[in-house]
Formats: sequence, C-alpha cells, structure tokens
Amino acid sequence: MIEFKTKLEPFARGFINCESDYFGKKCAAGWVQQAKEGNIKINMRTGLCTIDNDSVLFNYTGLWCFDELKDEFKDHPEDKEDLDIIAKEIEPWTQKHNLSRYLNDLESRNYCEGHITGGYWEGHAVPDFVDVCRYGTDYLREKIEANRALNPGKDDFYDSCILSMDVFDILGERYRNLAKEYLKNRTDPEEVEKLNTIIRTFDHAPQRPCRDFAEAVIVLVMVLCVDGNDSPGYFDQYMYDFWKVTDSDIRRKYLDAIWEYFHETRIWNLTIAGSDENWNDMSNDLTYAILDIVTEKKYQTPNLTARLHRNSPKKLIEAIYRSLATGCGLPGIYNDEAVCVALERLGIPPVDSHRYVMNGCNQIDIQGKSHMGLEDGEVIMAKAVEFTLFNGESGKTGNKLGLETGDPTTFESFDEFYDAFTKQMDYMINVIVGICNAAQKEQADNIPGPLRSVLIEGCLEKGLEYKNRGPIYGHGQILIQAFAETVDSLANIKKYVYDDKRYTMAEVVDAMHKDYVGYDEMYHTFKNSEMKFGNDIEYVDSIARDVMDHFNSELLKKPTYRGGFYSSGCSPFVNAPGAGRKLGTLPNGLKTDECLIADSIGATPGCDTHGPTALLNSCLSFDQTLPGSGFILNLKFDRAIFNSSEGEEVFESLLKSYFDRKGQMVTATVVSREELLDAQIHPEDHRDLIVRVGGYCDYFVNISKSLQENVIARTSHCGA
Amino acid sequence: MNLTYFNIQRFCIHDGPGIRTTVFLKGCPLNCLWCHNPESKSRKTEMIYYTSKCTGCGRCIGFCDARSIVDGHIVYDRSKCTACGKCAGRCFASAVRVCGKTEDTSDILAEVKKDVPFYKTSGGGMTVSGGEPSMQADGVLELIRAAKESGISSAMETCGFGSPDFFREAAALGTLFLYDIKGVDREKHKVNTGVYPDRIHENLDMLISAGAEIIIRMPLIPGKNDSESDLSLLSDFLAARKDLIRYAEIMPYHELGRDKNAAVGREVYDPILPGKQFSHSWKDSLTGSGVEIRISGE
Repeated sequence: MIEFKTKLEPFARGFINCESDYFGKKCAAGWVQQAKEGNIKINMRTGLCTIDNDSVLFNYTGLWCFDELKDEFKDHPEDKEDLDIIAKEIEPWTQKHNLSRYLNDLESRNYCEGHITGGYWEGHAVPDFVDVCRYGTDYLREKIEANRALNPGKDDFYDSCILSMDVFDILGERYRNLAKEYLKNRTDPEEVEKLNTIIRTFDHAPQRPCRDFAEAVIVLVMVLCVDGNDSPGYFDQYMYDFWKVTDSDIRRKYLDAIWEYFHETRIWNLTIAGSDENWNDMSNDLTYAILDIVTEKKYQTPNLTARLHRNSPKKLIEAIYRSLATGCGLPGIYNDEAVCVALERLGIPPVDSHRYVMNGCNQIDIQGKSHMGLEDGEVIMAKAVEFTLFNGESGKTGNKLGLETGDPTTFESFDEFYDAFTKQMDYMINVIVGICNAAQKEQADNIPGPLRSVLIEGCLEKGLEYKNRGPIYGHGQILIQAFAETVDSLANIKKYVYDDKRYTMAEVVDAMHKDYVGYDEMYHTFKNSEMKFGNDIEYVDSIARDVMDHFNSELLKKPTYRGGFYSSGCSPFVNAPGAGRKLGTLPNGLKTDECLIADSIGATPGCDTHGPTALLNSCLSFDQTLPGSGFILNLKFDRAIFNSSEGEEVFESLLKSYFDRKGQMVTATVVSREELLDAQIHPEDHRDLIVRVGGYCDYFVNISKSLQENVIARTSHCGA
Repeated sequence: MNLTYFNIQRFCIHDGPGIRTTVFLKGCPLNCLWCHNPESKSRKTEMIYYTSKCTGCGRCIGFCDARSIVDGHIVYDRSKCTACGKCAGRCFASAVRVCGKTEDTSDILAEVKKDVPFYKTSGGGMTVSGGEPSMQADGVLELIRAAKESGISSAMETCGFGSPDFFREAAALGTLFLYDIKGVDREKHKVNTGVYPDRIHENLDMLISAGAEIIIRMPLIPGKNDSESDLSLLSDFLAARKDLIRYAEIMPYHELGRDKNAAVGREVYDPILPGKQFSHSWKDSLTGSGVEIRISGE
C-alpha cells in the first residue's frame, strides 16, 4: 500500500494500490476509488445525477486519462512527490499502448503517408447499458459469478467485472445521500419531486431492477456517464417496457430530461424504429415521442438514426419528414432491406441482424452482442490511382508504398490500366487489413473494458474482454474515402487517353507530376468533363460498379483479429477535406493543394449536375448489400422544396424509390445556398444553421472554412 | 423521327404530378413579352453566350467569322454564327454553349426512361414542354406513344396554338394537358403574345369535349394582363368551364428568363416583379369562378 501525500487523484491511487498485475482489474479498482471520492452532482433542471467530469476521469479504459492526469499535476507543483510515484507506477502501462510496436515496415510507412489509417483510438461500442436498469447489479453479479465458475483461472477478469458493478452501487448510494442533503433546503414542489424520485430510485436500484421510466432514465444516465457517453443504441426499443408502464406526464418529463443530457454531453448515435426478423414494424409511442422532441428542439446531438423497411407505416415517414423539414438534418434514414442483408452476408442471423444499431457517426453494431462498429480503419481509395500512374509511388510524396504494376505508358488498353489499378487496390486492402488486425491485437492486449465486458454478450461466457474476442460478433469495418474521385479519374483516363486519344498516357503522367502546370487545357478538360460520377451516365457508373463491388467483395474475404470478417462503409464525416489533403494530383481535375472531395458515396461536390434522381441512380449502380458499415448518401434540399406542398410527396417518392432498390442510407439537409453564403459573411446571424456533413450534423458556423466550402459546393438539389 | 430540344431536365416537380422528366422542345409560334424560356423560341439550334462569364481568354477565336477580337474584347456577331459549336468545345468558363440538339425520339425516350423507378413511386412521368410541342407535332406524338408503350404517362405543357388534330391525337393517348391561358381580351393577347387567342380557346374547348385531363395555367404579368377587367374576363372564362378542368394555376412572372434573354441576343423584358400580395389578390379575384385556383410554387 503506497501512501500518497495528497487526495488529488483517486483513480491513480486506486489503480496503483490494486495488488493485481491484471490491467483491467487495476483500472476497475481506480474507478471504484473514483466513484468513492470523485465529485458528483445533481442537475436540478433535469433531475438527473451525473459525475463531474473535471474531477472524475472515468473513460472507456482510463488510459487516456494518464496524460490528462499528468497535466493536472503540473498545476500543483507542491505535489511533485505524488506525481513521481504516479509516473513511475503508471507510465510503464501506458507505454505498452503503442500501435507502432505492432506494425511491420510496409505498414508503418503506409501509415505515415496518411492515406491508410487504423487503430487510432479505442472506438465505439454499444453495450446493453439498459441491463443495469432492467436486471440490476445483484443479478449481474450472479451472472458474473456463474460464469467465473465455468471458466477457472480467470479470476482477475471476473474480479474486474465485479468491481465495475461496485462502481454503480457506490455511486447509487452517494446519489441517494446527496439527494437527501439537497432536500433539506428545497421547498419548490417540482424540485422536491425530482429529489424524491432520485431517492426512491436508489432506495432499491441499481442493485434491483428499475420500476418505471423515471427510474430507468436516472440509472441509464449513470451507466452512460460512467461508460463515457458513447452511443445509447436502440433506445425506443429497450426503454419501451419502462415507458409503457409510466404515467404520460412523468415519462415525457424524463424523456425531455435525458434528451437534455444527451445534448449537453454530445452523445453519439441513437437508433429508433426498424423491423424484427419477420419484418414486423417495431415503432411505438416512444419512437414518435422522440421524433417530436427532435422536431421541437432541433438539437444536432444525439445523431438520430431512423430505420425504415417494407412495412414502415406512413405516419412514421411523415413524422421523419416533419423533423427533416425543420432543417435539423435528423434523423439519418437507414434501410433495413439493405443493411440486414449486408449483416447476414457476414453470418449474422436475421434475429440479430434486425437488431442493428448505429454508433459513432454511422457505424453498425448489434447492440449488446458485437464489437465491430468501432471504425477500425479508413482508406483513401483514390491513392490507388496515384500508385497506378506512378508504378507504386505516391504522387504526393514519391514514397514507394504500392506495388510495381509497370510503367503505365506501356499499357495498351484501359483494361490493362484498370487491371493494374485493381492490383494496387488489392494491395492497399492487404496493407490496411494488416494495420487493422495489428491495431485490434494491440487493443486486445492493452485496452481492458470490464464494464463493457459485462454488458456485451459473449464476454462473460467466454471469460474474455470485449476487446479481446469476447463478444459474439467480432467483425471489422473499414471506411472508404474519395470514391467519386477514384471513379472520375478512371473515367477521364478511359475516355481521354484510350477512347478519344486526346492525350497520351505519358502526358497525363507528366501533368500529374507537375500538378497540371503547363497542362492548362488538360486540367480544364478533366475538371469540366461530363464524365463524372453521380449523373447517371452508364459509361462512368459501370466503372463505379466494378470498383466498388470489387473492393467490397475483396474486403469480405479478409478475417479480423477479433474473429470475424471485414466489410466496408462510407461515412467521411467531417474529415473529407483532411483526406483530400492526403491526395496528390489526380486525373479528375484535383490539384495537389485542393481538398474538395466527396463527403459521402455521392459525387464530388458540384459535379452532380443532373439532380437527385440521377445521383440516386448512380449510387445504385453498385451493390449496397455488400458493405456492412453504413453507406451514407447526402442529399441537400433547398428549403423551398420542403416548404412547398409537393415537398413531402417528392421526398417520400425519392426515398422509397432508392430504398426499394436497396440503397442503404440517406441524409437530407434543407438549406439554401444563399443562406450558406451569407452565413460565411455573417456567421453571427446563422448560428442556428445546421448542416449534415457525412453522417453527422453540426452547426455550419462551427465547421472549418474548407468544410463550409464543401457544403456550399455540394449541389443544391432544387427542383425545376 | 427526330426532335429538336434544348434540354431534358430530370427531377421536375412543378410540371405535372409527381417527379417528372421534362423534354423542352425548340420552337414556339408565340412571342410573349415575358417569355422565360427565350432559348426555346427559335426552332433552330443557336448559341447561348453569357458575356458575364466570359474571361476573354480568346480560345474561341479563329474557327469562324462570328467571333473576333476588337480592341482586346471578344465581339460576337450573331448574324454570322452557324451554331457549329466549336467555340463551346473550347470554352472552359462555360460562357458559350450550344442550345439545341436534334435526336431520334428513341434516344430521348432512353433518357426519360432512366427515372422510371421514381415515376412509379411518385405518380410522375414525362412532360413535353417547349417552346411549343405542336411545332414538332409528329415527333412529339411518336415520343408520347413510345412512352406509353413503356408504361410512362405523359403530360404536355402547351400554349394551345397548334393544329387541333395534334391535340386530339395527344389526348387520345391519355396526355395530361398543362394548358396556358394568357388572357381573354383579344387585342391585348395579340400585343402580349403576337397572336389572337381564338385558336387557343377553340382547341381548349375541343380538348374538353374530347374528355381530356386539363390543368389551366395562367401566366399573370403585372401591367400586361392583370387589370381588373382582365381578371374578370378570365374568371368568367374559367367559370364557363368549371368542373371540366382539374384546377387552374397562377404562374407569377419570375426573373429566370432575364439573363437568358440577353444570352440568346433578345430584348430583355423588365416588368415589376410581382410579390406575394399580387398572387393572392389575383387568386381572390378568380376564386369566384368556382374552379380551384392554385399559385405555382406555393
């Protein structure tokens, strides 16, 4: 037992004084100490109990907090002795958490180039948070012990799981006492009611199950808070049992309260509606109450996902439309008909595939059963065009990172060029899969998550951490960037080099080398070419189909470290401009210092000039039941359309036509171009302006200038 | 059979029910002061030149007598232009483009067919517009017939100034008519559009008696055809056809045609822009007709 001079850092003291060598157990012991001593508070506006994040460093693992902790001690030089102890005892654990030790030379060099990324953070997961509300910690402890008996030799792991239950019991007790304390000097009847609700909740919870919606919300918030406010998951389903037994005034009040909490903590993604394995519609009163709240409050968080399918009722689509018509950009609309098929290809049976939820921006998980939607990695596909043009070298840096597929000036046909391109793409897939598997192993070795291991099925049963092959499904997801740019580059090469013979390959390679300097004509020709993806032109879309289906099918063959297979997704989120900067000069007319690239599976901003029906048709040219991680398509609508009498019918028709043909997902932004331009000049007048970027909503004035340009350039699909 | 068009526009949501693809044909027998599709007037292919977009780079010079550089500025002499389109192929600024393309109806239909899945979910289809479809009567009928065979319903935007046989035949193919009535007063109509309205009104009544589906569209232009007596005549005109037309739609003047007029070398019409109060007072004056009155875009 090490004596500390100060009481500053409970987590570190708990961690260091835990006598185990098992990292997970040490972390759990740190959390227990934190639960005992950290600052807690009751928000009197919402009537919910939270942890003061400044003092309590609960997180997915506690790993990140070590750095923050060192920072914190910098402000307290008098506590130097404690810091020395902490540095000595904790630093060695953090040093293990280092991806570069797991990568081979080729992987490292590709990683440094930046067009392939993976394993950069711990990632999302959607455990069954509600298990604590639904069953209580007493039951969960019994479950942990029962599984301990079946898996001898894993006591440290099961101890850590028990400790994570202790955290809730300790917090529950403290919240109850704090509420009693508050009650002493409160007279406002509403506040008294809120405090009494907290007291009655923790009179029996979290040990025993919650009895109504108010109790379930209070306990759920405690769990989400401790876990780190990730994605709540299938909220309208798992909370419905509580919702339906609660008085309508009270449940609406607590729904409002938790929505405020979600908004304040910028919680990630929440899923509603959808179908069961027999295609029965799962929407309920709570689904509509949530859509009402979103329509009313226009918050951009949580990112709301609404699931549709063949039996979705018309009134649900109408409620979704009402929300979208406010311009809040929510919900994002997913198609069960495509997503469930994609998940079933991965071997997930319908009974589970129909329980999918979105997490993070737009990755797919099976709540409480999987660890797969954490965004393993991302690949900037257009880099394969560079490698093909430069025989394996990066156009941006000259580094040899691809395959030697031969001097492109010797290719006699587009087929030969395309063949070399697919070899480069396959090679990139191998490299990214290598990186992602190394990252998965690194995380399995070094990132424990006892709480999540209790709340994700399979972990307790196998005696394995949720990062370390514990969950039932351990698939992986690799996201694609710069797809439209890849297709447009290939289309230009096919048309202008091989079909029309307007330029020689040598000229194109030279122009790319020189960033189009001295090749003005070629630059304009390539940039203004009509052969751009998103315009329903078969010449281009057939290339899109070949590239995407090839990429997606190849990925599905690659096993993950976690015991599943990879599939692809596309949710560029706010990092599309960042990805654009990783690219050199491309034959689609992209100069090396430009970063305007597609922010979804749709067209390069400004390149889809034939309206939304053409864009949707183009995106249906490839098979959207292959990618298992969310294939986002952003549609931007003029506010005028949503305000017109035809708007609703038109939107529904577009959506239905896309979804009938197995498109995966649509987001819709309602905004006028003028509004955006004005917002750049007068941001103060447009603080309410929300745009969807990739799979995510944000305030337009808060996003970077380059991203703003991206949103503006994205074609405004106004009807004629 | 060939048709000359200047645009095939997809995702049109104001040219009839649902999501539609509109084929804008070249050539119009009327010469309305306020025309907002001036590039449709001539039956021939012509060049559209936006001087505001021209960067003066000079890449378009040297292929013909129509374009030259005088005192460092590009001068375009429309009278010498054969609309060969070479300049447009060289222009990076998209300041010049060819307006008008002649294609076989089967090629046009192929483009229209691309949005069949959207017609199905929205109850939309193809709209033939212009210009004036009756100027290319045989080709239009062939296109409508072929569309029908492909399960695509058709609508037609027309000024009504054409051969009765053409309209009768189109009606027999189940075409929905979006039929312009630009005024009832004969003399004013002549001034505003260049023709007397008699034939237009006769064709309308012929279509009504043939049982065609009809939506009346009324471009109302402040100071041109919106006086109290104009509206009163129009109201009576509608009342006489009450129950025989689906509804009547007011089309307020909009500015889109302004730049285009200049770009195709025509006089720019610059009336007072009607505000919402105009459209609503027009609507009030016409409601007494007993026909449902709508305002386009609202």
